[in-house]
Amino acid sequence: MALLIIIVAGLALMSLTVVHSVSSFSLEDHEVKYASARVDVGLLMLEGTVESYLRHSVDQEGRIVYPGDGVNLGMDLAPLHGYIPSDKLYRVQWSVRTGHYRGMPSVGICATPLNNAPVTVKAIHQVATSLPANYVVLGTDCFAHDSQAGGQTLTYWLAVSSFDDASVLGADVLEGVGELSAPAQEAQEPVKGCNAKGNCYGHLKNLQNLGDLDESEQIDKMIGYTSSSAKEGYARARKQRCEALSTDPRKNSNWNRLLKACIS
Amino acid sequence: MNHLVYLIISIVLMSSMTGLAIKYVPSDAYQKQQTYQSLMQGYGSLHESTVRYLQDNRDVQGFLPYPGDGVDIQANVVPAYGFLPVNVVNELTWRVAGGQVYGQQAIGICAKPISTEVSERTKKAMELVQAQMPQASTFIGSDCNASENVAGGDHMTYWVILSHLD
Repeated sequence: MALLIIIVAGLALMSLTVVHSVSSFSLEDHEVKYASARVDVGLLMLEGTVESYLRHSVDQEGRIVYPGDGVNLGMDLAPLHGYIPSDKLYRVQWSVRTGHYRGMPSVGICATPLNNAPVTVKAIHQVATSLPANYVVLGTDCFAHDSQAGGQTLTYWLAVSSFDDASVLGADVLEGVGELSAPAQEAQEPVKGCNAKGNCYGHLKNLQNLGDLDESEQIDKMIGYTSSSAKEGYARARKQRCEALSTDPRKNSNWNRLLKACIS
Repeated sequence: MNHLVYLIISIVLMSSMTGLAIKYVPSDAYQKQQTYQSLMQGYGSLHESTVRYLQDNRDVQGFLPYPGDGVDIQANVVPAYGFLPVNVVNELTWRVAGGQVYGQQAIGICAKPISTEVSERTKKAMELVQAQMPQASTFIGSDCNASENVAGGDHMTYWVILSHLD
């Protein structure tokens, strides 16, 4: 008799547990989802920071100056061009370094799970699947070139050429300034918006060529190039960038991702 | 036999208690979460308003406006570029002002106490927010526009560095 009661009670408890677990979700799944959103935001944030850094590191022709392989960019990026995402919440350590990847000068953004926390590792794997496959490496170390089975460290490689404003953004701006730039060639004084090395934003640098025009004409030109509110200027630049990206033969790589970013 | 019945009853009671407990959140944790959310939403909203204000007020050369160290620009930012977020659980209010961090011109978005006392719970929520913010972007000090953390601080500042927008 006692045995029967125990069996019945056991069955009842078991069925309750089953019913309960069917209508619930595991806390770990929830955490992984949350963590992967954070990792994704971190990557996007660093992508923007790297873009800003590269676009400021241009020579007089507006071409990006590649600092060479193996340069740790951490100190160059933050705090001047952006912040490094938090490493406290989901125990992801971020690092950014230059290197050749698939034969192209690139910048690698690396996310390492601290202490190999299972939630973080799963989140990193989940994020990796959402990135352009050819530019993501899951290795055992940062800045790896080839994925390895069980790799837990994510490196996202950004080809420097994909940020080259001279070929993407600068084309029509340069064209517009072309006829005006000749008489202004001698004006080599440092310009606001350029750093000590003379590196400046493509469109800001073009503005210095307007120095010899009279003031009202200058303002008209500037409004023409950067638009009266720079917000529109940026929107326009982004649109150009999107257009250039969408017709670029190299799409389907990280171009898709950049394209998505510039549409939003 | 009686013992067995008691045992089963107590197991059932215990499991139902546990089942109930799972559905409830400790009120302290709940309030900390509310504070945390309110802070995050406030920062998100003021960050966007501040960036909109900055982008919209570039000079003819395209340079961002820097109001000067310690100059309060709240009246320029709200309501023209967004609304002022609600006070955080009646303990913190907001301030937007120019300032320098890392030698860079920046705008400090500060959550500061309305009165002198800030609860420990709110301070804990601040730490939670700080942990989520980008590294070295946010400081909890004894005054607004702090550029380093101070133990027991109750003024939290997130810095929008102007060069980030260039």
